[in-house]
Amino acid sequence: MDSPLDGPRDPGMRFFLPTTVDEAVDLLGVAAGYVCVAGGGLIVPSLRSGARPAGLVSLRRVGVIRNMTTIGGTVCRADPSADYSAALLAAGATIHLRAKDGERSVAIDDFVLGDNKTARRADELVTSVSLPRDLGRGSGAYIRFSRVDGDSPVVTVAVRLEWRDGVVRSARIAVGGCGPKAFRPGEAESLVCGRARVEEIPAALFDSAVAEARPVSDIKGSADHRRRLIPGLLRRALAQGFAAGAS
Amino acid sequence: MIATRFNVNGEDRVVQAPAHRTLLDALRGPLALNGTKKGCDIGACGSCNVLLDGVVVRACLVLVADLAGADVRTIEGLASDLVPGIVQQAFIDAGAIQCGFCMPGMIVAATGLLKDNPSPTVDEVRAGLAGTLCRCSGYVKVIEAVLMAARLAKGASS
Repeated sequence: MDSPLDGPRDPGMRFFLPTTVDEAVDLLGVAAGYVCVAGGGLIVPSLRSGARPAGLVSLRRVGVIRNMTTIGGTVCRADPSADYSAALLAAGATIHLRAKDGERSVAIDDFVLGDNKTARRADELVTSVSLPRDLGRGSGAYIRFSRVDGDSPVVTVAVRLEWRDGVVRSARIAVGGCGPKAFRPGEAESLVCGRARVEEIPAALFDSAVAEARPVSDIKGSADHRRRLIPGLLRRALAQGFAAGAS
Repeated sequence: MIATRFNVNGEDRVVQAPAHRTLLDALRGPLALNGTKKGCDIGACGSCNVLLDGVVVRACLVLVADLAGADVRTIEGLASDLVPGIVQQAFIDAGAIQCGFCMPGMIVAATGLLKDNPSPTVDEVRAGLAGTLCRCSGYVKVIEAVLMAARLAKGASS
C-alpha cells in the first residue's frame, strides 16, 4: 500500500461504480448532489478547480465509455459554442433520459435552456442521443470557425436541408457561439425554403440571422467579431448543403 | 479515502485517494512515476498521456477511484530494464527532443497509434498526435520519429 493522497484533507466525497443504468439512476435519485462522471472531460477539470459535489456516480462500468468525453456529457454541459451544440440542433436530435420513476425523450430544441443549463433534472441520466431516421435523405453541412485549426470554435453554423422536386422543402439552421445557446434563425430558415440553388438566396437571409444573434465578447472574440462571422459561415454552409442536395 | 488496486507497468499497486483525485495525481505523488508530465491538467495538452487498458488516455481526466482492476502503462513502462522501446529509440534517433516536456506524452500517443495502425501515413500520424501539443512546435521530427518507429517495428517483426 502506497502512502495516501491528501490524507487529512480528504473532503469525504462519496464514489459509486454502478454496473447498470438502473443502479445509476437509483443513486441519482438518492441525493440531489450526486454528479455523473462519464468520460471525465468536463467533470474532472471542474473537480480540479474546486467543485465538491456530495458524490460521484461513475458510468465507466455502465456503458461504452471509450476513455474520452461522451456525447451525453457534452450535451449536458450545453456549451453554446461546442461543436455538437449547433450540429445536433440543426440535425433535430432527441435526448433520451431515464430516472427512477420513468423515461422521457426531449427534442434538443427544448432540452438546451442556456449555457450549462438543460431541462435535465438532477435525478435523470441521459441514456442516449438519437438522430432522425431520415437524416441521410436530406443534405447538410457543418462549419466551424476557430482562430487556430483544431481549437474550440468561436462561431459555428450547421444546416440541414430537406428536398422535394429539386427545391428545399424545409430547412433547419443552427448558429452556435452567438448567445447563451445555439439558436435557429427562424426567418433565415423560411427564406431558404423553395430555393433550388444557393445563388437564389437573398441577402436579407444573412441580415436576419445576424439580427437574431445575441453574442457576447469573451477571450475568443468580441461580440461584433462574432456577428461579422455569421454571414460568411452561413453562406459557406448553405453552399455545401445545396451542392450536396443537388447531386 | 478510497483504496483502489490496479496494475501499473506490470506491478500491482494500491493507491488510497479521495474520490476527486486523478491518476496523474497518483502517478506524480505516491507512485513516484514522474515521467508522466503535468501540463494543463484539464485534458487539453496531452502531456500526461498514458495507456489505460491499451488505450491512450489523459491521466489528468481519469479518477483513481475508477481504476479498480485496470492496467496502466506509463512512459516508464515502455522501456525494459532501462533499454528504450522501439518508439523511444526512434525518437532518440530522429532527434525528436525539443525541450522534452511533451515527449513522454508524444511517445505514449505514438505507441497507441502504432498499435492500432502499424503503418500510418504522414497524415495519419498527424491526426493520431493531434491531441498532444508541443509548445516548441517541434512536430516535424516527431512525425519523422513515428514513421521511423513504424519501419523499425516492421523490421523487428519480419
